[in-house]
Amino acid sequence: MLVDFELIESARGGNDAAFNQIVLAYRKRILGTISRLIGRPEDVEDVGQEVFLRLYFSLDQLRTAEVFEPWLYRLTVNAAYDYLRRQKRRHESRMSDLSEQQVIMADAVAGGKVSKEELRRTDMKEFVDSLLDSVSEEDRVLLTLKEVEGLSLKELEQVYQVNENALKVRLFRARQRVIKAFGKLSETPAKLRGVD
Amino acid sequence: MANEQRNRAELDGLELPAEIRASFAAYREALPDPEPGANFMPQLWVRIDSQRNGTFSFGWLAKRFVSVAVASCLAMSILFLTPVHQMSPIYGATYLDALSADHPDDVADADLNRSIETL
Repeated sequence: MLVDFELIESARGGNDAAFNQIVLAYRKRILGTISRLIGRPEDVEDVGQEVFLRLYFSLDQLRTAEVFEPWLYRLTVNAAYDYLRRQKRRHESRMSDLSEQQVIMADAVAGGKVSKEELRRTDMKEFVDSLLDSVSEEDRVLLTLKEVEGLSLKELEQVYQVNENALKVRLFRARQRVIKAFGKLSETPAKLRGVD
Repeated sequence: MANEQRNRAELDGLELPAEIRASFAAYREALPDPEPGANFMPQLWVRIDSQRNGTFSFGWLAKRFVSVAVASCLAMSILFLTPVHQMSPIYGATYLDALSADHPDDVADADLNRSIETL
């Protein structure tokens, strides 16, 4: 826990200063999780504010201060879902944005402004983004929380409010689908190059 | 029982291939927790305040609407529960009253006849 229970209780009681302190303590971590969940740096702060806005108006529904972190993660996951669903509807504009990013990156490479390490990192990020884009939003979020954020099964049970077996089934299926997508995605460049 | 154990082992057993795990780890490294911008907190409070004000005005409207609805219900109840004949002079009268009001001379004759008979 990044804050003590008294502070959470105080914020639940309507103390805005206490709420402000909670946001200050958690915002960096939450923004990091959001950036890896949605993969769009320019929208991270907006989604982050949405998470804390929802937290502010739902704090009175929190049963005890002990479950604060899973509660906050749950709000984060829900806000990320909402964002990803909205983005799906704007898929075409997203594709044009991506190509614009690629053009900027290509220009930077041509101008010698980007190091090899940076380029490798960008390639890796794009590859994982494409991999996560090729599964459903539910799989994307679950896999990111488990495999990228490193949440334990126990923590995920609290976030998703399901029992261990149900969670394992979801995870099993999500892993199957991402392995399949990985296979397809890995084949694509070889096909484009005409290599068998 | 054996099937259940096999299924459970299968669920526990599916790990991601090393390549994918490495990709995810590299993704984690490539995307460290970002520093929030200077406007993060002020913008957040603006959003909270605007929603809070919106909620208050909606709440105020809802309360007023409920009050008006309750008052209307009471007024309608009183109106419908009050017997109609008590308010109307026409329906409050008996048949004989109405008849005598319409034909005052006949009633006077009848009274006269009755008086003569008793004599």
